[in-house]
Amino acid sequence: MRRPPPARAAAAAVAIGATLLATRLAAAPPVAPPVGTPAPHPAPAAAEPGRAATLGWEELVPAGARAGYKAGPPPPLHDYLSGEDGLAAQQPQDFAVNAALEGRTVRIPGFIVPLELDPDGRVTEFFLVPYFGACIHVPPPPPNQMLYVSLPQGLTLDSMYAAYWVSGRLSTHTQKTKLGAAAYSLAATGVEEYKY
Amino acid sequence: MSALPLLALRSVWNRRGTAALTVFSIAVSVALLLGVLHLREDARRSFANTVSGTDLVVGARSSPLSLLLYAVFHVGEATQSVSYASYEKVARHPDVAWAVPVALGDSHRGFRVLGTEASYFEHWRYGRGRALAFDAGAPFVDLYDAVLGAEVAARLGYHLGDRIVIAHGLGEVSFAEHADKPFRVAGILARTGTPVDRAVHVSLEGLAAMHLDWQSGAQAPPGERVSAEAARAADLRPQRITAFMVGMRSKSTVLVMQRALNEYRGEALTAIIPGVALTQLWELVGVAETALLVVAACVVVAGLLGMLTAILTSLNERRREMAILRSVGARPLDVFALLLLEAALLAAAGAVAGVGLMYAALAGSAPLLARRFGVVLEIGALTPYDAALLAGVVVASLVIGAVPALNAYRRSLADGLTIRL
Repeated sequence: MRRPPPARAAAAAVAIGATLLATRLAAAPPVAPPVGTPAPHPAPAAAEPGRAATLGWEELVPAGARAGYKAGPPPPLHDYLSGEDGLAAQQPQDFAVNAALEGRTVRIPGFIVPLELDPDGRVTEFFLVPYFGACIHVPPPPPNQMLYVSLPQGLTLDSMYAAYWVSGRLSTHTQKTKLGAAAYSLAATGVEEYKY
Repeated sequence: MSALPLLALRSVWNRRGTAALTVFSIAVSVALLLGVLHLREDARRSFANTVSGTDLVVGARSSPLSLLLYAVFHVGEATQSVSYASYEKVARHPDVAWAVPVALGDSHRGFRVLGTEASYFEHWRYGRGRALAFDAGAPFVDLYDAVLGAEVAARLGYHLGDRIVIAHGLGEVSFAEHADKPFRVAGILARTGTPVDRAVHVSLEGLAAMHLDWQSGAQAPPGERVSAEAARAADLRPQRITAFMVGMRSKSTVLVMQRALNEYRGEALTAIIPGVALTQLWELVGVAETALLVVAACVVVAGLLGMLTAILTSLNERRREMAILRSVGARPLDVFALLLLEAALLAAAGAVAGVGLMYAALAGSAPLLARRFGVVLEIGALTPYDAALLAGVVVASLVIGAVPALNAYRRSLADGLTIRL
């Protein structure tokens, strides 16, 4: 009487189990880059008609102020809250935005700082910042070095270490805060993971 | 061919004892796998649903996760409190749109008491920017008014105007109650599916009044107690709170305010962005989830291997059955199909039973999870992914079932008819 080799049967079963799991395991978070790692700068590409132009972070700074721009953490803001009732005079800071970008459809890479989650846990509002760790370990980027992004369809974010390409329509808007009067927001239409 | 399913069913029924055990082992494994998946989705949904529209949560210096858990989900305890002066300073900042304090630490029959201000009901948001609504009554006005979450009112059967006594500490029973200062139920909130449902909301001043004669850590001796009415005249300005929520006028100042609070020299504070802290929580829990999922999948494989063993073992006992089938005209292919059908039948029954088992387990554990971990399970229908997994289990059983089926297929007719001595 012949019996099937047990090893073959076991191997088949294990293979099936592995296939069931493969989709889940594939979503393991990538290795964290060191804190403060700048997002890779894409080569500034010429705007093609009908397609989002790739934008570099330095282009968010107005052309006149760009000479002094350094990619890296900005100086800390110590006196935002301290002083007399937190109202101490702020040292003058010029966080002007590049008015030429108003209304442009752009594509820009960066890291995601989630602000608002929908009931299914997808990120629907977030800051896009040029370097990882912008949320905790180093001072935050100035208003002209981050984008406030709204993404109605949401993004399932498994790890804040992952960089993403975000594309959509950029707008500049003015507001009166102690940090200056202007900021960027982006109505995103698409998000895809940045592949190194 | 059409008689085969019935034949398979009858054959399995004839061996229903072992078949039931096989089905049960597959059911347990399927329930475990689906349960882990559902629990993970539900926990995420429950957490994501709880807080919305709040830009910063600020508490005493601690880990962002523990601050998120105790201040928002009412799980665990704060290690330190925050001075009310710091809260006022932030609330007055020109870039701050609104700020709401919360003070935790007392309870009512196992439900947490949250001291806050009436503006809490106006500013607190859950889901996708949904505001709190009142099923009955209104926010607290009087010093001794309380607003109940939907679950508190439903579980304890409270109505507007009822008097409740708040206990010192967080246990389900307490031996130190504030019985001299009962609170009147002034409002009952509509159900939210968040930890708000399980909270008793009172004013910060009400909390201060309760604790007037508790300054030494225990209640003052009877002669020196402050009566509920006398307390109204006392200085009830809050001194310490547990945490506070902040909404900024402009999103572009959220990160700078967070930084400023974390570096604030007046007091050691931690400010967190709820979305960031939730993502950190999931990064942390994700590893354990994946490990659980691997274990659950291995249990499914073990369950299917158990079925393989059971069918292979039964083949020996069923040599005669197969032989009779062959002798009355069954082709070898029919025997093959019969055994495949049997495997599929067992796996399908196991999958169905497993789904039932999972729902029973989830329903059974939901109240406990809500009470202990602030996770509100929303027991939903099977997702397409679940259905695909169940189909995967049945397909896997067909692949596994092919082993004994092939075995039986190869055996000759003589195998069962020859009497071996």
